[in-house]
Amino acid sequence: MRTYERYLYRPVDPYEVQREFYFTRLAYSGHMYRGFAGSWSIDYPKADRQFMIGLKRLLDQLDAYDYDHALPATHPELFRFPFLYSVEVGYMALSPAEREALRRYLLAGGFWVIDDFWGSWEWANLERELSLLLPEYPIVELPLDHPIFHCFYDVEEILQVPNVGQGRYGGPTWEQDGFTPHVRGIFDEQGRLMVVINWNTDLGDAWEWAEDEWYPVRFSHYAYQMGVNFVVYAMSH
Amino acid sequence: MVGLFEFLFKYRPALFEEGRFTFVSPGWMQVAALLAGALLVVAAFSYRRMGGGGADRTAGAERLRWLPPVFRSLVIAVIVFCLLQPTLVLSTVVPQETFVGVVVDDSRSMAMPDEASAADGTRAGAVLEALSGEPDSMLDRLAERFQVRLLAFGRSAERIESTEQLRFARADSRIGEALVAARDELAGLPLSGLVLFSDGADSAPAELGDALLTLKAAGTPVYTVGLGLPRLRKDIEVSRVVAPRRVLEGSTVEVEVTLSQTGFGGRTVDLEVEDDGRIVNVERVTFPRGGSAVTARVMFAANDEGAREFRFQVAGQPGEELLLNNERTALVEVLKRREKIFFFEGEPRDESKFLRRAVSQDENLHVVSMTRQAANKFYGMNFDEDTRRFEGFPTRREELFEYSGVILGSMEASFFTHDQMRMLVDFAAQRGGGVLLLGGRRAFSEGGFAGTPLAELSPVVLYDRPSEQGRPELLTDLRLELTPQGRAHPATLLRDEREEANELWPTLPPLSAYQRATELKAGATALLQAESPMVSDPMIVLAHHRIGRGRAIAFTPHDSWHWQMSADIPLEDQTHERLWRQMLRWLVSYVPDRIEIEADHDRFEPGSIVTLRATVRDEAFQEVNRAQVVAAIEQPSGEEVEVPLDWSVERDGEFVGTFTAGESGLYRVEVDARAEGQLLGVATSRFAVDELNEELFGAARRDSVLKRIASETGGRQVELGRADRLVEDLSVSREGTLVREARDLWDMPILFLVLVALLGGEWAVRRRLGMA
Repeated sequence: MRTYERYLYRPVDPYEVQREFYFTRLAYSGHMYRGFAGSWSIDYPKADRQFMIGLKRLLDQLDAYDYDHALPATHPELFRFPFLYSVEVGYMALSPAEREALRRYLLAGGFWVIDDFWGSWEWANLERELSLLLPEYPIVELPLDHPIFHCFYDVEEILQVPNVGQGRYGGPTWEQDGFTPHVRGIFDEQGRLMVVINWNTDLGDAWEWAEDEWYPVRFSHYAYQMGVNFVVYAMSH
Repeated sequence: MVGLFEFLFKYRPALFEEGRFTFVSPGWMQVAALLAGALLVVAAFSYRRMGGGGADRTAGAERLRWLPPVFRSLVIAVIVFCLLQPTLVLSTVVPQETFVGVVVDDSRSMAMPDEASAADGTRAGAVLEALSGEPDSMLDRLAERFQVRLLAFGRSAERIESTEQLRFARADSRIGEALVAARDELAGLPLSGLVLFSDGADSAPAELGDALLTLKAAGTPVYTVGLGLPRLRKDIEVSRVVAPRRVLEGSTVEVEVTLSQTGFGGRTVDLEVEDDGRIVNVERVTFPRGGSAVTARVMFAANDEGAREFRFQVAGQPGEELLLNNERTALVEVLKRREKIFFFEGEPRDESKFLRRAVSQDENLHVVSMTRQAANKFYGMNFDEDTRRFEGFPTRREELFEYSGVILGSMEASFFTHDQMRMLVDFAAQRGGGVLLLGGRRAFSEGGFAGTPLAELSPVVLYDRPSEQGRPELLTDLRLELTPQGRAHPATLLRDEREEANELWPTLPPLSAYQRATELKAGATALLQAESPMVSDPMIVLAHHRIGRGRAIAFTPHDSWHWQMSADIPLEDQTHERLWRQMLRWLVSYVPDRIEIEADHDRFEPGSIVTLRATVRDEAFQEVNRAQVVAAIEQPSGEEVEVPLDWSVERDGEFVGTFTAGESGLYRVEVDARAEGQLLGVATSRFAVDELNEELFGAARRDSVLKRIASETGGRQVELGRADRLVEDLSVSREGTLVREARDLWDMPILFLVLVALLGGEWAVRRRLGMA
């Protein structure tokens, strides 16, 4: 049994539960994470479910699946879910089969949002994985005038969203040496955005703990705005 | 039939039509009638007396008793008729005081070798022999009674002194214009009529009717002498090419080519499509064994911008008599411009995302989209300096009508105001735009379209679905198949080759739909359907119908994006892109512009009068009559001519002008429409001027044309060599210097035959009655 499988719920059958949108978390292969096997499953499933509650309230015309939904890249039905979300990619180590499936997925029109990884070491791991996955496409910084920051909410500033521990207790917002938040992306040759990388920030925790009275609301507010914009953009472009 | 009539009645029906029937001895009338009456009384009395005898007669014989007196009476009536001297009085011309114009077709088609009566076997040879002036030739027989004037014609008719001046090399033959010109040439002379020697091939662009009316009004009968066979023995002809005048660059052009043949039934030939010397498609066409014509639907990509002359040709076949009619050309303007399409979507969904993605690289399609994300919160995309900005769905006609096409996604009818729904219907019906209705959980019946104006747009029958029924059920595993109409439609051509495309459809991943669309509206056409285990009837997947000037298309699945986003479809596969590019090009094809200019044909003969017709509309597509419209015509030499166009009065917004195209080559017309000094718009069009050889098409003798000319002018069709009939017909003309001529009818064979029949009949009945 692969490391992620023990955490994985049964993937939804899109014919059984018919929705236009499923917030799908990528259950990737990876290194050991804090003695814990699946870094992909950090904040899972609460962050996903809580985000869906907010998302459905804010995008009330979106016909979305209410619950969490995780899939490995090699799942035969992966292509039925053109939106993917990943966290802790500093520990990601894709197998050749996952890499091949994910590459085809992205080039065919899939959209991948990466979140919650920090510092130069974790960035280096992601960069290495992406260089194997999409070697011909560079990672670029997304400017604030990009439509992804304005397609639903107007996001004028990139905030650093801290994890729940530091957010609740008013500690520093950064982790490791990730002092500055970045939103980066990878475009295909037609200029279509395939991957959005939220580095040095943790949107997932802000969704997950949005109801926590100690977690600063401005971070949750921002995280939801970003999340909603990602979904609107993914389903429009 | 005419021969039998002539045998029985002594003269042809034509003479009876022309002449007046009378009795020469009207003084005998009363005496003859009295005598006849007396004889009848005597006959009846004598038969009545005989009737009392024979008690042994059968009942059948009794019933025949009245017949002998009837026969006898009729015999007497016939004799009386003859004694009254029935006579046909005709007006005939005075020999040599009346003229006849002999009008000879001098065109190339007369060189066809299909006139067996001529020594050289050609139509021209037959004419030369008939008009040689040798004893007993038609000309000789005519000249015995008339002053004959010879005329030759191609485009028009002119006098010739002898048949030596005939060349049979003119490029066209305009029969109507030629006959009127011949009539004018001989005006002032006592003219019995015109004799037309022709194969009936008429290349005139104008209808023949006007010329025939002129001749009829002038009292000039035309006698037609047909040349050639009514059917060629072995020939293939490209009879007709129906091509769009304008297409978007990169579109699939669909052209209907009709091929006619004689003597090649069952043969398979290659129909080649050539674009500037490059073969762009070859279609194999098999002629039916029984029929003569077949229509092939040819499709090819128009990838090069500009005015393109596409040539459609069939290689000459062994034994074919005429090769010059094996090709035709069509002028198609390939436009490089962006057709604007408005995509209105009721919810974020992958179908609309991937649809836009599929056409995003198409430079000729500009899809502006408006997607509802939340209640009253829309996300507009692709608006630019050429498009007005608005939020939601347009409320003004000008905003909507600037687009050529509208795609309506998963949006419930209750979202729209009644005016917006009517405006969308008018977009198709009045503006002539294309509306594409996409499947979705809030579309069609599931979106409450039934009973609203939106229902008019749907090519499929809608049903009432109360909203409390909740989420509609998804019909899954729809495997698509082409209908017979879909197998030949350009929208379904997902591969370059038709057969390959038709085989592809059933292999595509199955789709699903919320729509239970199983019934087509009257007049609608389905191109794709699918079987579903969840419904008994086939599901309609793609259908279309006309709405006024425009069209509406329904595509009921909601997840065609699986053809792009699938682990089983290679990344380089273009099926999904091609489907939507073609669908949207089809949606906006033939959508009218606000200002349009069109010549009445795409190709003309040199010297033709070209009628230019412009249509002028304002931003809301209302026709404008008070406009100043000028067409600037750029001739092949580069010289420019301005032609003002005037309101036609017949139709709102229509402006017409004419121009004589002298030079051969390609012409460009740019029309400029203004109202109250403001520019309403500009439109361009092209036409070509070239030798068309029209008369070589349908090159067999056209009896219908010759018959029409003769019957509508009061003349007659005359067989080649029947000079006697021709002279007789011309002699009894109502025109020229005339004298009266009486012809006896009492000796008509029919009278003798009637007498014999009546007497024979009487004798037979009398024998039966035992009275003989």
